[in-house]
Amino acid sequence: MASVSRVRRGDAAFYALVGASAIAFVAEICLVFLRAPVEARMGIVQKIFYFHVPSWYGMYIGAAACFVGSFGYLVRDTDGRDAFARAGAETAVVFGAMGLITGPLWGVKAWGTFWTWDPRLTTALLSFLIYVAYLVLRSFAGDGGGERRFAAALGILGAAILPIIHYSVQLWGGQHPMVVTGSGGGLKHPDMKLAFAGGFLCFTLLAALMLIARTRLEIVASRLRRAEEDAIDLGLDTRDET
Amino acid sequence: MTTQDTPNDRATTFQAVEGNAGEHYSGATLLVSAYAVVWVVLLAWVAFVWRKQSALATRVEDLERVLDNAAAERQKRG
Repeated sequence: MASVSRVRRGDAAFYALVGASAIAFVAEICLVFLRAPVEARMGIVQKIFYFHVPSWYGMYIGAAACFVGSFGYLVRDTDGRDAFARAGAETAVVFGAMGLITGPLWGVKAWGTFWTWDPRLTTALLSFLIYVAYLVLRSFAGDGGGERRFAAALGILGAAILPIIHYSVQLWGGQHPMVVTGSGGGLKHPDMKLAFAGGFLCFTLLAALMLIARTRLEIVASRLRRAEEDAIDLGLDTRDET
Repeated sequence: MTTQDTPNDRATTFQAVEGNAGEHYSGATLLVSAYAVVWVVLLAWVAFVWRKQSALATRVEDLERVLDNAAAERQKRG
């Protein structure tokens, strides 16, 4: 009974988070498209900024979750920690894909080219590819203890590149804007700041939803795999019977 | 649009336009494309999760069938 009530409380919290995210996204759309002013030099395309930067922030959240889950798994191997790491990597790939596609759409207007091998862009692409590699490994290399530990090591190494992405513009220059990290901030209108903050809130909620949903699904998959193994131990082969 | 600003200015500050915004490029198309990408990527993720759930459901059904068969055989044997 206690576990049923815990599940119901968890469901209620999840649905509350879904509701909060929906409200936040509607508010954010209004802020970006109806309230935030058009930027003087770049025009309307600057509004990509309000979900391009938060999408990379969502990628950082996923990568951080992957790091925490992976590190936790190496300390003590539980299905929950492995599931959290896997969910984190997937979240990182989803948000990284958003960032990698929306960035060039902004860049073609700002720089006149979709892609340039700028330090920020290059390190961000490398980081994205590390998490793609993590997911490919998890999809094709089985789900044994060895594979999980190897993936956990990759999840920890993947996080090492995050500070390099963050400080790449300061360290190596390049064309990438420094509006957010510039001294005092480069958003010159309060509604720009509001829309930007709203973007961060929306993508934080979205990342949390994705992490929770995928972690739960992976835990269920692990439980099912153990049940299948138990069935095989009892002489019941779940694969061969028709 | 001003003519004095340098690429460095564009990289460090965003300022609100004064008066009507004059669009010389199809910035609106780029913006809508970027916005659409966010939703397409999210929907692709939803489809991916749905596929994973379907695979899990198939495995659960297989396990249930095997357990049902084993229970029926046990009953037959008495």
